[in-house]
Amino acid sequence: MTARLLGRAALLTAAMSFASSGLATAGEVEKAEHRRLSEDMEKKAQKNIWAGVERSFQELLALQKSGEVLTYDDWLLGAQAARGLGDMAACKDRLTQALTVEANAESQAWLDEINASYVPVTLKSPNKDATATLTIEGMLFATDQRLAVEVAQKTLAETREFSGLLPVGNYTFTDGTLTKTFVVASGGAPINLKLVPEGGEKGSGGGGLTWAGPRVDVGGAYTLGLSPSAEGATAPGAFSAVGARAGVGVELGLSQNFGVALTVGYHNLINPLGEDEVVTDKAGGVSAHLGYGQLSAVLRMSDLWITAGGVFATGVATVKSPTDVVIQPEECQSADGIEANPWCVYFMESTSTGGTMSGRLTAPGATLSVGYALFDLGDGLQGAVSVGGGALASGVRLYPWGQVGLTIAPAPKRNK
Amino acid sequence: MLGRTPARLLAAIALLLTGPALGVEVSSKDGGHVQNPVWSPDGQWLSFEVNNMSNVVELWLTKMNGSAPGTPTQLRIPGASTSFGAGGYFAASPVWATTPALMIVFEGSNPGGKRRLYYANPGSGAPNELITNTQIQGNISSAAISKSGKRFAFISDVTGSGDVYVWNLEKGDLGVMGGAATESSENFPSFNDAGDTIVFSRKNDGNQDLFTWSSGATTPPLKGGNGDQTRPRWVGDKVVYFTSERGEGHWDIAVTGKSGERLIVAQDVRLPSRSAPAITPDGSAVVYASSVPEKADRLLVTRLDGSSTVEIPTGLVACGEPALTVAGGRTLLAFTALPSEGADWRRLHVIDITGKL
Repeated sequence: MTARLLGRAALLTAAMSFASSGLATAGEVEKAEHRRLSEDMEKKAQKNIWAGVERSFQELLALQKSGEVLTYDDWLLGAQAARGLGDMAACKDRLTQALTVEANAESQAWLDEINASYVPVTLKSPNKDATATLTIEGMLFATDQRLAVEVAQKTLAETREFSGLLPVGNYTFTDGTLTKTFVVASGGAPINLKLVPEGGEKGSGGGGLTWAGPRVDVGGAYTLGLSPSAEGATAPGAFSAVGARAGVGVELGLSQNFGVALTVGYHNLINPLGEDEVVTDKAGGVSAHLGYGQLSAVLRMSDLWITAGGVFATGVATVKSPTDVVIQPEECQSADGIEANPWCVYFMESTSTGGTMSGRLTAPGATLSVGYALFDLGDGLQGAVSVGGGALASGVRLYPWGQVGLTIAPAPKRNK
Repeated sequence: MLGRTPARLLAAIALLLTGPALGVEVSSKDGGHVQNPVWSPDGQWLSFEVNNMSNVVELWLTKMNGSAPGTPTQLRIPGASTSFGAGGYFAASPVWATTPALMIVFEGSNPGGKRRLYYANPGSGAPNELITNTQIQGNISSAAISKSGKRFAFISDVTGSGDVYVWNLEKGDLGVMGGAATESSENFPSFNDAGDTIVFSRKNDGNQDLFTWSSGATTPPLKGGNGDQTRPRWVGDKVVYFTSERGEGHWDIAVTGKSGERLIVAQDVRLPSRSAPAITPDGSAVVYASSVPEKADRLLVTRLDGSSTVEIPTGLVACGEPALTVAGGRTLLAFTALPSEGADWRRLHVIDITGKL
């Protein structure tokens, strides 16, 4: 659990550093502290004191908040420390970070070796009255592999759960009553095993879904209605409004890092302000109630979740626009014209009395969001803070929006 | 591998006709002697050390492309600084394991640190500590691996002044070899083919003598005598080792069996920096360099029964530390030598001697 939290902290600080790279710059104090920690890590590494290297590395990660940028050597020592502590998932993550800082053939070869020798494995033993044990057939010569198995064994004995990288080999996973055997093969698919009676097992032995479960997105959104772009369209001027956006659906992991999500939801715009207080272009208060369906691809890198996909929304909207009603196109002013010109349906004026326009809004669009998993929620679910946005494109105008929210989704594969 | 008299005549005629074998020099850095070349069992990799003769010994590895060595890469232990940048760095004495995978195991220490054992998969470039401080502390060195890969032996100073420890990888247990936790220092363990017996040297009355150990608690002496009997290596049911019983400065290669008989197969050999006698892959002969100045331009291959010797002229100076392998049907001989009289640093050379033995 500690390593998992540390890994999260590393990613979070890295993300924060990235996000604020243009704002925060390290001062002399931070630079001096960075130098001290790097030297301390090197000295401890020379004596193979990996727990000490790990402590200093965590302090280095914290320094990233102050704008300090970790070097290739920092990340490499962090990877070596994780290896020395049997946390090969963190080792792999840090090695990957090192290679993003500086290309290095030896480290690339090391990463390739890890990818060839280790496979993500998730093990769970729901029986709270039993002790879960893991054994590997035969011997392990390499220290990192021995430590990785020992860490898995210790974690299972303490928590009955393990999620991380295990070396190639034949394993037996048991709680004394139920026993599962599995094979970790080089280059094999992630393994997900739960000690439940036959017929009641969830998970896969490789080749099935790597995660599956409900997905919920809830948050606040700020939506703009840009100026109409369709020539001759009958539409209010630009407007904006805050609102809520919430969706529910399912998310399925197709591989260790990639999955899909299908959600349906509700997106509204509420701007009760008077016409003189609204944002732009003489359009006044606005309200919209949209239902949407969304199909997304999900990329998971440890606790970092990236979701991108297409959305289709439909609903009704009302905008007060007392002084600036655009002349309706001639071809849309009659029932025959509307029938002959399908684009008229994207925003059809139903009434303009008093400068208020109401109509149906139907638009396809695209979304992108980035989330960071921060906490567990029940069995197999995680909660993440997410930021994102997207845009709907009707035939009349573009509706971009940004949102901050909470995402609940099936637990990803991570290192314990 | 070697014939008797007719073969010797043919070999001599061949050498007269062909002259010195043309070697390929392995690229190595200036500022240090190359020493202790060791082939991987499959002959695909060649490790060697570069010693600046002051305070740094580096370990390098090159992949062979047929009989041509590739560009060497350095095996740096964790925490190592850049080359020759920090005095006191040491990485040397490699041995190879083939089970469960091809690995190189070697000794290493950073400045001010303990001597520990490290391993790496060739080509991965990420050496890792093999035996952790949790398993055993102190200085550890002189690794030996049984052919099956199930047993591992090394020397630790955590007890006594250097004792043989055996690590049974099947059972996971690691402990001092029975009967070996003595006040005397032990060194150079070597497994027999079955992996159930170790031969090693022990300081005994001021000199090193050979002892063996099986699964029992005793370590019966194998070979004593004047001078040192050291760096033993099992070859079949025999032990090949260096002996200085003729006096200081005179090193010979001897062969002994369980019954204690002994045969000197080579005299006045140039003692390698740290390795045991080099043996041909088929175990039929020993390869060495002579300490006699007139023979310093050649390497010698002598059958273990002492019946014949083949000389390999090199055209180089002060040849030493040979290591021989057979790979892809080629017989390759690695050795160190000075390129010419008065040259500063020894270099590593590889000669294809296919058909010359």
